[in-house]
Amino acid sequence: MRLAASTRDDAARKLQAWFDDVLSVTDRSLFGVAAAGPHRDAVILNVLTRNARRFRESEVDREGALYDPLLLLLASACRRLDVRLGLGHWRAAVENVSELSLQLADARAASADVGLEIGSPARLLKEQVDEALLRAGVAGPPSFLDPEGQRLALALAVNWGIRFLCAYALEHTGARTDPSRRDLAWIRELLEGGGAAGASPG
Amino acid sequence: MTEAMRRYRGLQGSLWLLRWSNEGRESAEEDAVLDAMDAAWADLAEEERLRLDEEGPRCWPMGEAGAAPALEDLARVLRPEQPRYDGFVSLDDAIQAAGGR
Repeated sequence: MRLAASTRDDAARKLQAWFDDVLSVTDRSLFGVAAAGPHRDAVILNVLTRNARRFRESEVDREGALYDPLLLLLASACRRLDVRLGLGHWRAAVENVSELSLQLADARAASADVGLEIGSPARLLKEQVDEALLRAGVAGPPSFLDPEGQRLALALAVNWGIRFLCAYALEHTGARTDPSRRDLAWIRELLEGGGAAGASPG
Repeated sequence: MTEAMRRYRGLQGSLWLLRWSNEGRESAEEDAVLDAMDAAWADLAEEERLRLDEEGPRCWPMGEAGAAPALEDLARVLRPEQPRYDGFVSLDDAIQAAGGR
């Protein structure tokens, strides 16, 4: 899958608008239930640790079971880091996954010749996310990194997490049931260059 | 890993995080980190500099996927926090508190 630059830009713009909406929804329904300050920080950390554990303990599937925990961990991690994912983040993710998919298609064919299964892009990227979550100390076992190191590891988890999301969507087999719904199947259509018409207000 | 390399790796991570937070754009905040990296570079051994040169840039988050700091480096670079045992008094402290030595 090599997308044209205009398609990649369009997909990145729509993904950015979509994730802003995800943040807005989670702010209203989850994080906003506690007043700003230590209580809200605790809610954010709670959502992050619960979903990081759920994510890490699950295998990559094609039905979209990881979609909810991934979105909740990405939203809570962004709030904890006080970072907004901009167009640059999404464009880099779309480009990286596009390149990685091409590279792995060749590598997987070669590795199959020698009986070695190197895994799909989503599987490889999930390993990166899992490891970063572990180092950030939010997925169960305590981290041995200092606070700055844990912050860097959490940023890496988000960095790899949005790449995983793109690769996971491309491996998703579910069909779009509602044209107004911006879900995993919608992301797959975006990344396949289908445009996912009429789905995003952005 | 030498102390100088540990310091340099830590600064690489800080620079990556700053740039990542700014969507890959350079910012005034990174000047201090870059100055510290220059100073840390001067303390590196020749073979360490060669190894870093061979690795290529690692601090451009919007570039190639491999431009992120490697997690295995992170673990070696960033100092673990010393475990704290509240209420624990070491034997040395106890001796000193008792006026010994």
